[in-house]
Amino acid sequence: MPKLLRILAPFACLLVLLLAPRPVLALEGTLRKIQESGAITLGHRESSLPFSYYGDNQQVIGYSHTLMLRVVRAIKAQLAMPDLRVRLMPVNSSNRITLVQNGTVDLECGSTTNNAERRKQVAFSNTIFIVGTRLLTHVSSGVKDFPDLAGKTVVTTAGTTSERLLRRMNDDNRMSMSLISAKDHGESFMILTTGRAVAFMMDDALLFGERAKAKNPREWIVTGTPLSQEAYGCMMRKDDPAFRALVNETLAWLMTSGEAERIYAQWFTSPIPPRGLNLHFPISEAMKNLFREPNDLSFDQDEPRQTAATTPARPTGYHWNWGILTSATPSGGTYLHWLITGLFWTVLLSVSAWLLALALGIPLGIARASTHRLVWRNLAMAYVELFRDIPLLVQLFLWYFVLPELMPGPWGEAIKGWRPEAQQFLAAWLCLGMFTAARVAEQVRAALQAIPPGQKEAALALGLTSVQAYRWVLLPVALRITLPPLTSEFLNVFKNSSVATTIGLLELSRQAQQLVDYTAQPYEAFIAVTLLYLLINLTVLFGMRRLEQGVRVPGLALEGRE
Amino acid sequence: MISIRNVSKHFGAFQVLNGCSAEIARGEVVVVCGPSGSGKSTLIRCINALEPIQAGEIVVDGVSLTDPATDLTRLRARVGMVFQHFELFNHMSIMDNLCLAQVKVLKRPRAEAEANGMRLLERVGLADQAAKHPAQLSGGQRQRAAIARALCMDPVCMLFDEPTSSLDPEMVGEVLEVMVELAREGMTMMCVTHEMGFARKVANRVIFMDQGAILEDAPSRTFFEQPGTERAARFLSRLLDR
Amino acid sequence: MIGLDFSSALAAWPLLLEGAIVTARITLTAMLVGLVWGTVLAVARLSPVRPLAWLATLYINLFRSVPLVMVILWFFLIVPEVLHGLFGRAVGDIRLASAMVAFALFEAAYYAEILRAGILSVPHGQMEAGLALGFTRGATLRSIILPQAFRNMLPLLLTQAVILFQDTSLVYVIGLADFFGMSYKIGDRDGRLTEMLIMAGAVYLCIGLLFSRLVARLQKRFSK
Repeated sequence: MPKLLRILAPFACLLVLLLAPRPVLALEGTLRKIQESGAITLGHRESSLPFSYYGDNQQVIGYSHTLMLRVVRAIKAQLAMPDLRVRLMPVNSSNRITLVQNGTVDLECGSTTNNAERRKQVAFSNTIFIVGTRLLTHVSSGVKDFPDLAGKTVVTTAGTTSERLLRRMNDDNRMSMSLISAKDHGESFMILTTGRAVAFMMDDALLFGERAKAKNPREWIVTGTPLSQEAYGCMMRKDDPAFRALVNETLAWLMTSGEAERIYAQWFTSPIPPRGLNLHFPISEAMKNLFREPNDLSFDQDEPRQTAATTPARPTGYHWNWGILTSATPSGGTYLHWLITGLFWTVLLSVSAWLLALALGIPLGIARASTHRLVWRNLAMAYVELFRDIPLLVQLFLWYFVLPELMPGPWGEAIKGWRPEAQQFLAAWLCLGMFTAARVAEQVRAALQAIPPGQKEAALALGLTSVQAYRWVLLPVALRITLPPLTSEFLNVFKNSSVATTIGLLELSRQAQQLVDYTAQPYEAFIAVTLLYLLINLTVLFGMRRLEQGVRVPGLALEGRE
Repeated sequence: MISIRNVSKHFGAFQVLNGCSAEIARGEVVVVCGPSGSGKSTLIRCINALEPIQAGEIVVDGVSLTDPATDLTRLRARVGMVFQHFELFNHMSIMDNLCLAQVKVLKRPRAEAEANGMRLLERVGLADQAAKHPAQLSGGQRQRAAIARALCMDPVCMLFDEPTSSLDPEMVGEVLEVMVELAREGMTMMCVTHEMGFARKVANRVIFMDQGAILEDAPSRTFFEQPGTERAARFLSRLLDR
Repeated sequence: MIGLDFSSALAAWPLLLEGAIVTARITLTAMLVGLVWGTVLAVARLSPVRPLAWLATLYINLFRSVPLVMVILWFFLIVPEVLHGLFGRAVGDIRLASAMVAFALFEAAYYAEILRAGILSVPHGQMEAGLALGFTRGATLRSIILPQAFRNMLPLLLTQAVILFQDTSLVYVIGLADFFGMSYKIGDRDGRLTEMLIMAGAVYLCIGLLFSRLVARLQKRFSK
């Protein structure tokens, strides 16, 4: 054990050295920063149609984006800098708050709901849009309102208010829904249209936007009484009254002057790129009221509305708060539970994928090393090349998105009907297992080829069959030779399992990102997860050492050691 | 016991064995010698079907190797073979090496296999080494263990493929002693070796090979005193000059 | 079975090229920086100065124990802070910058291990011969040991480069559109995800095959 400690201690030291974040220089107002640097960085979304998204040619367009550009025009005027450079930074729901907070993005107008938790991290402008959270579903799905969702699979976008509302509703009303959290609205919609979920819950305006992207928009309807109302605002750094006032004044002027209503019409009741579709989303009473009397009223009643003037000034550096790990999540339990769940999925996925890799890889390795069965040898070689030369991430997406499409109809539909975790796990398990099998096969082949041919001949000369020779003589020796390289392959499986984060499996690195979404405390979350990975690493190394000692042949130094 | 009839073998264009014929009777001890690359090892490996042959026929104890119906695995179980590099299984103890084929191939109960193994280890003078692993033994001890392993299968004949070539000189004697003992007991043996002393002392016949062909097949006394070919005479004089 | 339609892959080739350039930039930067920094780390790890060897070991083990996905996410978090510290403002597209830094530092740890093995594979007598000829330790290392080590390790270095090339697709997690990310985006935009994913897989496979052939050929030449 002291040996383990000795290995661990330096890791911890370096972590602290590496990770102690440098304090962000105390900015004296965004306006001053813009003036000094001659540039402003705007955050935009990539597929929040029609608020902020890529039109044709990767050009950012949309309702919120238009408003944001109007604000930039006002900033140019105020600072008398007509040549102000504008940098565009795509953000997503997972990183937008961090990017505003850490000074990367100066202003973000997209589809960000103004709520109390976020107001602890960033400041919001006047409301730019009011939405209700509703459902998008196929006309024939039979889903009319939220209660119809009981027992069904529902998709929503990760890190959004809808995700929290949906989780809470599921827990409070015991609706036993399966929830999928997709990376962005585009992916959510794709999960809906490929039949993996019956409904997509999101802000109604976004749902109208996604619907317009469909091959046949009339097949899809927006339904349900709004579960909540949400006010979108532009995000900027906290405690910067001058910048916020300028943004608010500009927005207020646009709204009261009637300009905002024209911009609304341009994006919600007229044809828009990329396909010239019309969302047909008429202006609501709430929006009309907003345009008459601009305000920054948010709809969450949990906390009294902030008043910009009385917010106590705080330094803008990073606030460490390790207590966050033991505090409660919106859906009950603590964030520590999330980490433990993540650890569980990571270990379950890695160990089961490893078993699959051994089960496939050892026979493949034998076939690869065989000198007589040319067909088998070539098949095994083709397998190894195929699975070794395509990036793991691409393989994962092929398993997850493409396999159900290419499978015979009923099979694919059956898979899509599974619980989302089961679908994600299946794809990740097959992907990791078959990818690693190719690598195990190469190690086994190399080891078998390293055994002098006389050993097999001696076994045959004793009257053993070929199978017996492999079972009793060649494989026991080959596996001992491959033990050290297989240890590092086993460690790779754990590391590679983090790729499953991209299809939404709630393993460790996904939990890290989710923790950041919910708590806006990235360092604590990342350090905790990194330490867990190190812990896994050391455990595996320790276990494999023991195994190596257990199978060591007396008097024989292990060959093939690194 | 062993009939080799007009056997030829080639790797691609390279002729390794060229029309070799020989007969070995029950209880006979035959030494095969010749310069390196002459095909003597290949010939002996063919008898155990470790190498396929392209032409001719080999019959061992009445069973033809070239007959597709022959179960080569069962045939090999009845022919003992000893290799230049011992080829003990390094991950098993000596006793496990001796028992593996007895249990897996002859289906002997483990206890019987161990008793038999112990009897043979005593015979080669290694009874006290049974629990050790091959890597813990000296080269001579390993080769004696390998001979015991082959004898465990109650072979009808024994093939030796340069059994002393990779041993330190002082260990050659102990292995040859075991082989001499074996020959005296009437075992049919075919040995590829350069140990002319052994050949002179024990062998009934010597087969001399060069370039894949059998040049001489004579009683050992005749071979050593009046080699029939100039090539064999040169080979012998060079070997004895050393 | 649905009908596959690869027309959007063809129509979107300028975007795909843009993505491929991002992939190439990350791969090349990480290779060059990683190789240089990896050599420094390898030499440091073998150095007789204990604290230096200790620090290098620490660096290498740390980076080799953490998943690349986490490393990319980490640097996406840290790099903007550091750039702020250095320049007082955001610089360019931080996603590309942070990905380059992350890959370079990450790959260096792997290159260091390959190089260390390479240096150790050069017989000890070579160092002694160099010293006997009057070279200093450093000069022997530079002009005698390292050239041989690089030669021995070339196939492994290339294999690692292929792995690096494949791993660049992981910048997906920070939303950077490399070749794969771009393929995904186009597939998503046009409702042709299946086709674009198959296309991307095929392209990576072809490049991978090409390189593994090259590595095999090199290995053959060097083992002669």
